Amino acid sequence: MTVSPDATVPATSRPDAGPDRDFPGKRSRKMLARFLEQKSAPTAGLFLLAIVAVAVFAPYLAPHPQDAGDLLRPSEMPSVDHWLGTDSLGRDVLSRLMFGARAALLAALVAVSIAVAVGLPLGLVLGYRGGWADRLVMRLAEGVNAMPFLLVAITLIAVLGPGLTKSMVIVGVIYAVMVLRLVRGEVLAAREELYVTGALVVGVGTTRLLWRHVLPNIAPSLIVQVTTMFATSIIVEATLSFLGLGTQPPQASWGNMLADAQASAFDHWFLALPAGFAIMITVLAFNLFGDGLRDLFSRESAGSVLNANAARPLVEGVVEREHSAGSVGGDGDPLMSVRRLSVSFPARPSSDERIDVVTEVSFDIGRRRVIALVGESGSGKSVTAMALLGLVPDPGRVTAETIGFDGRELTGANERELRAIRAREIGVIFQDPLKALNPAFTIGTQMTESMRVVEGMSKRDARIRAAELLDMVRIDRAADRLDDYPHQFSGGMAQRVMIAMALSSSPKLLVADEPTTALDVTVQSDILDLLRDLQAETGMSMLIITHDQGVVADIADDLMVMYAGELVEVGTVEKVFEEPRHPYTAGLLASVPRNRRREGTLPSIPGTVPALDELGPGCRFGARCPFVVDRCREPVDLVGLGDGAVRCVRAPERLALGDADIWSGR
Amino acid sequence: MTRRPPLLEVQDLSVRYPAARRFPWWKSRSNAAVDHVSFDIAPGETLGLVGESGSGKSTVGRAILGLQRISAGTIRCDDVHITDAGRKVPRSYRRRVQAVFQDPYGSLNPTMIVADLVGEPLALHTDLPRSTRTERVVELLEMVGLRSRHLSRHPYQFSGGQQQRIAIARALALEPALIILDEPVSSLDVSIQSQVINVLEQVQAKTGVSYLFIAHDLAVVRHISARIAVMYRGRIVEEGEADRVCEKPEHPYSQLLLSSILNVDLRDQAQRRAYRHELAASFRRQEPTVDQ
Repeated sequence: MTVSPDATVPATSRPDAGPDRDFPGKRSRKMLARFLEQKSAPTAGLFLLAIVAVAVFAPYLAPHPQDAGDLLRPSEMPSVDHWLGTDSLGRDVLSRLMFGARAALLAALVAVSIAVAVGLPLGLVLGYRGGWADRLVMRLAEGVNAMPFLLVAITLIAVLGPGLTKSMVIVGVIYAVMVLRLVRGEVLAAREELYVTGALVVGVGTTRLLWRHVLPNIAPSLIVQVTTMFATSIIVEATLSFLGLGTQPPQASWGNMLADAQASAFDHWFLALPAGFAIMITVLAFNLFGDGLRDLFSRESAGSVLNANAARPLVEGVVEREHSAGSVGGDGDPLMSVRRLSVSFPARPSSDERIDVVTEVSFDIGRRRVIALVGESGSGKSVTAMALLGLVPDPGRVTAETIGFDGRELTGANERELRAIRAREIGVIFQDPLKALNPAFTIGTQMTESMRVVEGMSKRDARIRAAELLDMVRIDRAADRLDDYPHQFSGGMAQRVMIAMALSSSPKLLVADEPTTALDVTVQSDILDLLRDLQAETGMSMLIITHDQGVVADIADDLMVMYAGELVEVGTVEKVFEEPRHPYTAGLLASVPRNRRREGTLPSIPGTVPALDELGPGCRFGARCPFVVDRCREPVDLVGLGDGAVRCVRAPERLALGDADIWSGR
Repeated sequence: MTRRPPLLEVQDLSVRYPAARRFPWWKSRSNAAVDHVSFDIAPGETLGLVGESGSGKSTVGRAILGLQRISAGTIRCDDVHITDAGRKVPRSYRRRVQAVFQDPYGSLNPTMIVADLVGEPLALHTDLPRSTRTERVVELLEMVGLRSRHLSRHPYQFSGGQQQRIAIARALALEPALIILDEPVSSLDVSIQSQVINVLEQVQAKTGVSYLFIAHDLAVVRHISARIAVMYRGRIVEEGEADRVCEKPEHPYSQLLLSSILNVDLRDQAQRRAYRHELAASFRRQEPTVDQ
């Protein structure tokens, strides 16, 4: 087995795949490799393959005919001649088991084929077209679904007469309704996808759109559903045959073998075992196989890092080492002091190999200062903030030499202590305010909840305080608006509510993660004004995480620039914007679109952010840097320079980094 | 500057959505998402369409692409008209008007490889043999700064900026006369944003394609557009030469929008902030319902 190296790309670094990355293996081969890495699913698959082989070659494999027995030797225990004994008519159980596999698989195949052949196209078309036909069929489908389907099958068989094929056709039709509902639901969701719109714009016709664009994307859930249908079909066949409605004797079926065994259950208990186990193991194998397929396909959804609420204690770093922290601004007594903070995630699920998404970050947040942490997507800026709050989700591991907050040490603190600090001393606001508010409750309920729980205020006092807070963030008619629901607020107003909630406990530090990114430009400026005024009024410190240099210029005193998990430059905004010392910072500033008359091409940084699992020992920006020299191949430290710090070996040379020609001349 | 006869002409375009009725016997009313909008685009020209979310700018783009029922007005590109609501857009029109959307990953079918993604429009609209088609796909990829070794990869193997390049190559495949760019760089990082805008400009210089560049970021729009139209609440409130609109905006909303652009020049940003406060105060007096 050859496992392609790309099967190991961690979910967290995938979006950053660089331009020169090679992906040799075909996707299907990688899927196969990943499937084989699983434990139970390949075994189940092999077992199913064996069952199929037995069923197909039963006439050749079976040691005895299925329907002829020695009536003089009934119900024998296993012997050399009959490995699994004989049944009440003296027929060989092993042979009947083999032929029974035939009946079971054939039945499942009939039912599932009909289900897919009818349900899939119907579901595709109805889901895509909608209209009256869709409404009519769906009402019918709901009707069918409301009936217990085994009973429906039995009733229909009672009318149409027994027989394996006939009964499985009926089961197939009922399954078709299930497939129809599944496919229609998936198509309804896929229809809203942008790539469907894109296909329409290109002029793709309906048939091609459904088969080529929609179907491959809904195939995973369909395949999983079909495997479980195989499993239930086998049970249904056994049930019907047991009741005498499916496979008719003398043809063998696991179901009628059980019926036979039941007749003499007290005298010959062994007879029930072979067929019983055959059903159980086969169904189990189908389900395990289905689970394996589902895990294989659900890989895409893995790797969400930030929507965290589970916290784990911060692990203390071991080694003490000299380092130059980017301590800027403020007096000698910072509010928060972080040394060698690292965050790592497993390279792939259930693997011991870990990849650092944040590497040894050290900084201070001065009292009454606004410090901005900037970087592009994947730079690790948000994870850094989450780590400070103890909010990195479970597979993530946080280590730090020290995280000091207002004279206390947060490393080693447990979840309860962290929660207490988060509730009272650190406020947080996120990018999308409307997502952070619960749509089912009024603003007032959500605002007063934490005041009543954390501070033990009475309902009336909490309401008065909430109104004061809304007034503080300049929402008109504050007391009235407490009874409004989140959907009655615009994005900007909702962000004001979030700010009010974050400030309800008068925190010493406000962490704002992209607070204005989801808002319109005019509203963005209003929110920044509000944050600036509130900061001045309350004297709190602020850590603002953003990718927008304009936001930094507008609100921040100090600046930390992050690239590929490392701090590359730290300093006051004034100094860094005036004279950036790291080429990345300079390139970033040069590429900000400005409101200027157009002249030639826009400056930009060539290339893309490197994937975190393929970083060399040297400067992480080296591959994109126009100033790169041989020395850059060796590890580069963050070195203090003036009252800031920079991670560049050429920083002392004072190169003309900001020259627009360098960033647009390629 | 004399302008050539327009390639795209939008006249009195309105798109209305039925408003929610509380009772079925109430008179049905509708809200205008786009309200009597008219503009045109010359061959090889870029028109920037700016406005905040909900201003109707994306609805205009969708209407031109035939993805949106039109309530009133006409859209003409070359000699093809889309007028009536709900009619199928002719295939010849699809060849002439293409689009690039905001979310590059979402707009590329994740199960297809680059060769098929970029080659699909060619397979649909031309009868080029397979080998010629692949040659053309490689040509297109090179035009947007990608290489032939990317052909057999899936979209998820690329970064956001590269995915947007693939989307641009796909839009270019049929040599359209017009591409609707709906926030094509808003979801990209700053350093990548400028790369993609440069690619768009190079492509335009080479092929003479026209762009309708829909965005909320006036600074980006100014760089790439010859003219800018500002939309506010479904209407175009101001239209003119890009430099004029960005330096001497006339409508109060354009002024507010312009003063809201954050500047990386610190001193300038402080001044701008003070100016914006004055503007915002007077604008709110005129438009008391803003941002509730």
